[in-house]
Amino acid sequence: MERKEPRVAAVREQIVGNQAIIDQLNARLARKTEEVRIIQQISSGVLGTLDLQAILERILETMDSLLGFSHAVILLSDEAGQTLKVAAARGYPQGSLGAVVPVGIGPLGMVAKKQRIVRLSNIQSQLGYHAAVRARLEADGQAPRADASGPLPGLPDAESQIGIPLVVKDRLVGVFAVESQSPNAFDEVDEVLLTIVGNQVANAILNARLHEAELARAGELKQFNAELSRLNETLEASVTERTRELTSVLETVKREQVVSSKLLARTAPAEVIPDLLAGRLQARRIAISVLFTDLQNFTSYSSGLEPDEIFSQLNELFGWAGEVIQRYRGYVNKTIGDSVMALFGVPNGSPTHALDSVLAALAMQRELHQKFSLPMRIGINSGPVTAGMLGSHDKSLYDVLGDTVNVASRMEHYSEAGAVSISEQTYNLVAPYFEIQSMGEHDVKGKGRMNRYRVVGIKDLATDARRIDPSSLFARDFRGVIDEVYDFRRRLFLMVDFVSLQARDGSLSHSEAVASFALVLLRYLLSQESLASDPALGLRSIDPERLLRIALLHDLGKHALSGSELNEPCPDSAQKDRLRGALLQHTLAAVERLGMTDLAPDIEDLYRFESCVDCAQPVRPLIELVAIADIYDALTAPKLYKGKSWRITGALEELLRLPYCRPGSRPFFTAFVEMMKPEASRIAVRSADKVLFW
Amino acid sequence: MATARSAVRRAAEPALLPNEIKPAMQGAIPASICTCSLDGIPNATIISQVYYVDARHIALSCQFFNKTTRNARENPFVSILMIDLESYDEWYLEARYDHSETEGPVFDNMDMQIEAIASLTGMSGVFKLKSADVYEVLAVERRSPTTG
Amino acid sequence: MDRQQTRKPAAKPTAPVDASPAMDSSATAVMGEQQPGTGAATASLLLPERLVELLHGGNVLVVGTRSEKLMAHVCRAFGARVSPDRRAITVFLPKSFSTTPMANLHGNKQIALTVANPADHECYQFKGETTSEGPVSPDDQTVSDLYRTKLCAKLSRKYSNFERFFDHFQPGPLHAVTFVPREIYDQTPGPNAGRRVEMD
Repeated sequence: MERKEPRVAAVREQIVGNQAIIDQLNARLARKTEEVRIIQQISSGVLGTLDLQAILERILETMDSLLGFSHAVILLSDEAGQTLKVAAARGYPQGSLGAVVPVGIGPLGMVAKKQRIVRLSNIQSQLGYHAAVRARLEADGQAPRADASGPLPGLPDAESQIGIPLVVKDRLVGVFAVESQSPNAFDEVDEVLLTIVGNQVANAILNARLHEAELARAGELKQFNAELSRLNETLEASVTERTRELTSVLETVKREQVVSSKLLARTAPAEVIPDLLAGRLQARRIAISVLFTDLQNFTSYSSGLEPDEIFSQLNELFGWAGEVIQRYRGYVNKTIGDSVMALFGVPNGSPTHALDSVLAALAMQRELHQKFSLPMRIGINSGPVTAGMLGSHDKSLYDVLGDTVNVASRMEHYSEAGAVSISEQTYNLVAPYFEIQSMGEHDVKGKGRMNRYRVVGIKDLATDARRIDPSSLFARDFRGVIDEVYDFRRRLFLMVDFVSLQARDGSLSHSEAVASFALVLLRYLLSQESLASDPALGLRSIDPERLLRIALLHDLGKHALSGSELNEPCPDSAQKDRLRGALLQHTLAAVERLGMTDLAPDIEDLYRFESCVDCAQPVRPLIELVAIADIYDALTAPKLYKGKSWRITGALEELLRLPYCRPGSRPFFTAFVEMMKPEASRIAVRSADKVLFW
Repeated sequence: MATARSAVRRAAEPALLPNEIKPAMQGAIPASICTCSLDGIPNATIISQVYYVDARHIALSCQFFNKTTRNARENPFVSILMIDLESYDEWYLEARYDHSETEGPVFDNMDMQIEAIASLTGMSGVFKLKSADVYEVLAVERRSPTTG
Repeated sequence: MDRQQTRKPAAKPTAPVDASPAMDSSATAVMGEQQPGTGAATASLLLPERLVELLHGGNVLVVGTRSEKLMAHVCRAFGARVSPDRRAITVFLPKSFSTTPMANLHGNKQIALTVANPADHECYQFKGETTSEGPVSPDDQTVSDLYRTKLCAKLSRKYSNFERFFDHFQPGPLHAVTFVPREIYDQTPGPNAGRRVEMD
């Protein structure tokens, strides 16, 4: 092998050894060392084989044929940055090339001046509006002097336009624009597509300009000419590579077009769209719940119907089912015949996927009869799936794969008409929340025998022994209050979907429990004459309806918090305070939307009391009653992240241990303990820092 | 808010703007808005553009302080009517004035659109965006030709 | 506000003093009590000819009302008719979307009407109180039909074809609402926007 100038040899080795060097060339061009100048020369040679004009025209051609932008133009800025000149145009009459736009004038001039993208949707009517104002000003002798610029290049009566600044390293090199004579011709997806293409155009322009500058300095580099010509041979490969790169850019654009049309077709959950557009969407493994529905006897039922009747009935069914599924944060993956396949927990996983899926299923069974006369079977399974875009290139769909899907389908198959059937895996995740019957074992192909369970309904608060001890005073004398509370809730808050809200952190029936406990506590206290007549306690001044409203609405703001905020334990108390603050603010906002701003001070007091910022502060009796009920139910009710809930006696001990609960100082707390404790138990030890039940 | 008698159904959460509403927002027939002063005088007027901020928010351009902007600041509940001349759908919105922005992406986008057109008619100095008034959408109702 | 304009109509003793009998013939239900002097010389104004022309032309008509709780409501009117004495305006509201505005007007009579020419953006707002409402007369119906034809013709010149427009601009059954404007504002975008219009 012949001996080479060491410097050159090093460069050569670098280039030939690593194809990625071509990408790095652009960055290196800026440097002024001799070594880099050699690389620049090479890079220029590469670009020289694809001259700027050809690149620009090719891009516009692709925009038209692939993406349907039939009127597109690329303008380049001059050195001084004063004007833009049309460098390539497609879809315009001959002679458009060379037309000039002053920077700052017209949409494209503005794009250049502000270096910001613009999307206009109804240019002509807006122009008319401005012209009307101008006419008025002229009549008043106040009109500003019209600019002397001639007509701007472009369609004479364009209605829609997107203009994109072409910027490389903070420097404007030009403007790229598409136009249409239809109003509202472009949307956000077009904006994204054009931005991607615009970046390529900008780089091509910058490289070409640097190439020109470098050619001017070529003389300085004559001493390397011989070596360079040899180098260029090896660079032929790089030229090919460059061409391939360009092709792959066009491929990217093509892929994105497919994506954009899909976007409209709703083939993927909204959350994955950004990754999809950026080509970053990768298949991943997540734990979700899969739900299948099927109408009993639909085939025989539909045989008597006209085809368009079948379609319209099914579409109505799917529209309704989709709405219910969405209400519980599910995603309709596909419909197969008359059945729906829905996913809960896609695309990013969700701590409540199983709970949400079962609630959606129950809601569908509850509402179905209003929509359709045929009974429905629903099956659910939970477990890991692989999720991603699936299908052939022009027809792919966000989809999930795995045994989990098949088992869900089998659960539906074995389900009774009108029932919700769940697998063992789903059962393990939702058991604390529902009344569930075991339906025995079934053969599932490839999986052997599998248990199936039937969900009867949400666990009834009144008979939930984890929260209300069956031997307690409450269970004995006050159970009926729970029905009263539910009636009150339905009467006042028909528009609030409490179940969907409570499912967000698995606190089913929590609001109703708090309201019931607080109301019963109030009645229990009022029944004791010595307490009821004590003016210091102020029990008789409490409005029971107000108490119910506060108890029912106290954590309405949950809808605005994220699943992870609601369901993951807080790492520290500062984080916990922040979260409580956010919950309070969202709750106040939601309460205001219900037109109940009068509750705001009470809800604020409730949060303050519960967080115990100032334990010495006196608190109004109403607030204290709701707080006691809230803390108790938060402890005893099943909740997603806390694992096992507290035993009733444990929760009562905890209540009496609260910082503001010195022995004897809080008669409401003592009364609540009396009301909820198991009949046979009693307080064994009660000192300043110790409470033990026996 | 409390308009129990309104025909428009309200949920606990604010209403969501569907995608199909977008063509109506910059329609050829200008949108109409009604506000009401605290002393009970309704004010109906025409607005040339309604800007889509996100699924829960719209923005109106404030180019000069007029009765509409004054009313919205003392009584934030407004009523807006728009029409999409392609589909002939009419859209009825109820919204609540939330806040004004004088910088940031929403303001910049609106400012850009106004300036782009103004510079074409030599009116750059006249059409200046003072602020982007952001409204939270409380209710959306679509009135298709077939239903109306 | 009580400038000499308010006295001007009195200088024309032949003008009917009751609010536009021609209009009331079609309006049966009178909303609330008629206050003494309503529509008469105390505040009623003579609408300038130019505005009558705009109201009777094919222009966008927008009606604003408000509830007891001051919730604003906007709806479209399908035609307007100015009384022969030029003191009252009757607008036609489609029944299908007028539950809220009619309820609002029954509770309080405050009404705002904006007329805007979509072609040149000339725009005025009339504020006042309603005096009557009721079913439309055959004449009213003709005014509304004519209005529809004119507006569609104007818009379709620019944006679409006439037939499609005409087909879709179906207001259905109408209510007639009559009010006496107390104040008029020029809302044409430009230097005079928001300026109060002086009356004849």
